[in-house]
Amino acid sequence: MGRYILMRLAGLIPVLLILSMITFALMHEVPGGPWKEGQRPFSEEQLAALRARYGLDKPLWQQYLIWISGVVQLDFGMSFKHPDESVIGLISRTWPVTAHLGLMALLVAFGTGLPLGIIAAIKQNSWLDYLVTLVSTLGFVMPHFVWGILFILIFALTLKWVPTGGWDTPRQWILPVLAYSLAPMATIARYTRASIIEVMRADYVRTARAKGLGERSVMLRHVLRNAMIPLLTVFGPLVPDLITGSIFIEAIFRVPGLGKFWVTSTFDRDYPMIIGLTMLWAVLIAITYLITDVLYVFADPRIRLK
Amino acid sequence: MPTDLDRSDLLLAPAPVEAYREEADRRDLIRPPRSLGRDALRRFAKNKLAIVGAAIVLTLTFFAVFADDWFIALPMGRTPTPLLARTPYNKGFFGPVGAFPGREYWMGTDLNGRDLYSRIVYGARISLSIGLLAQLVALAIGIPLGAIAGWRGGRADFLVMRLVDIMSAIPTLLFAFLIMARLGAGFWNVMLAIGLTSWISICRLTRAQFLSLREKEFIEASRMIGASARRIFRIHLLPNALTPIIIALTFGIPIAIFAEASLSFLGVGINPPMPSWGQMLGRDGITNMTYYWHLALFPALMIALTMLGFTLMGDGLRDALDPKMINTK
Repeated sequence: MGRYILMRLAGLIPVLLILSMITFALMHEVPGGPWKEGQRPFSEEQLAALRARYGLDKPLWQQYLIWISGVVQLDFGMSFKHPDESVIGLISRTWPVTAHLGLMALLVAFGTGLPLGIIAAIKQNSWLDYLVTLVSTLGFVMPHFVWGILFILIFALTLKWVPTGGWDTPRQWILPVLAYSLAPMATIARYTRASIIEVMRADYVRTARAKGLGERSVMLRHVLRNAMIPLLTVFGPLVPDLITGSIFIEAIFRVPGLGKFWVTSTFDRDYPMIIGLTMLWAVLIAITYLITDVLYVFADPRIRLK
Repeated sequence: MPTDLDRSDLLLAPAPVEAYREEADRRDLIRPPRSLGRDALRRFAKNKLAIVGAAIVLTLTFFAVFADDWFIALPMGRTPTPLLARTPYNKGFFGPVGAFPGREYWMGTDLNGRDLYSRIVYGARISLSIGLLAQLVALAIGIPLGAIAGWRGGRADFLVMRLVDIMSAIPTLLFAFLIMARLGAGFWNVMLAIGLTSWISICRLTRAQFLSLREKEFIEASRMIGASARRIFRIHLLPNALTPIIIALTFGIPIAIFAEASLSFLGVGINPPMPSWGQMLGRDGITNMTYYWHLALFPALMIALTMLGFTLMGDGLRDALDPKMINTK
């Protein structure tokens, strides 16, 4: 197991290298530069000085080598847009807020999605099932910025129960967490229901019933345990997705988090930030898949890692 | 009556089981054979939610196609005039600015005095066509790559799968943004950016289909009696792999519409004055939401309705086309 994990982590390195090269080439390929379209007009000399200072006048392969030699020492460079902050500093300043929001949304999503999916599967084709299906379809299909806007219109502007935005008091957390958790909640409920229904039709469940096991014990020990295994693949990627934030939620509810940088870094041609975020995402995704694969071994004794 | 007691006719009649069998035989002969398509259609028609979804999609398509009488007007050399929409989408400054929904402008007007209802109707055209075209781009990339990887295996499979690995490690939104920044905002570029970022799941799906089909007995049998690779591909592989791909396509369209709305929401999608629901939300919608609520509400509802329609239809289509689902409903 330890060997397997090490091998997987080692296999990550070439992927990250190639990914960084592609991103590097792609982002420099995009026309415009970090100081081209800014509000402050720079003279040609100033621009040249800035470009020289940040090494943008060198050939691309040299810039890449400089960047990679920094990365080896865990230095991802300074942000262009926020010149007094390093990429790592910027990320570690804004990520806690986003992670906080994301974790609360995850908690809500699992806390409601799992029970809903299980109930819908057990009471298949009842009105309860249809209700859960409808709710989860709605949650599944609507972009969270649409939910966010509808929630603000209803709960903040019409009913005036909660503030429209901000991130200072727990009352301000309610709407963004709710809007952010609906899509994963729906995903969880949908897949849980489908997986349980599939398992309930399996031969070993019929055998368990035939040998006289109670309904409770059949559901808990045979159906639920087996139904959870394929769900790991679906649930795993939800975690990095939610904890890295969403520009939509953060823009609509004015949350000062990491989410907006996924988009603004490209607008601002903030090269170190773009590539830093890409690396962060790639590592997170890879670790998530690794953890799900390892969890499989515990969930299903038939699976061996090699 | 004496005949009541005479049971000879009962004895002469075939035994009940026999009669049942004969009846069943007769029915089987009468019942015409049903193809998968017909069967699927029947199952689809029985599914109420799917019918609702299909109705939503058809209505939206109708509005998208006939937003103006473009199809009739252009060949006849007239300028198109709005048929379903009240005004052309880009006609501004002719009505009251920021009017609330009322009798004359029943979705209100935007801050340029344009009829919101007209813009919503034109938005349907933009959303649907981008959804469909982007999926076609994704199919055109994903299916050939997935087919080669799954059918050939070996080195081709390795290369394609590493490409897929790398592509799925790039944050989609950031990648779409880079493409949009490179190409510039606009209808065709949005379509291309979404297509280029959404072929991965179709590629994976096609590969998995081909991989499992390759080992099936009927393919082996076909190969054994000397069928050419081309014939196997055409007669056996493609039709069998088609169903999941059709399902993926139906689900892919709302995902592409979602992506278009997101990009336009952030201001790198459809360029004004061409309307798009996401753009209407992102530009005027959220900034003026506290007062001009209709600018946010109607585009948001339309996005929701479209996504719901396509997903319900896709769910129904999947249940109808998947033979394994026959016994469950």
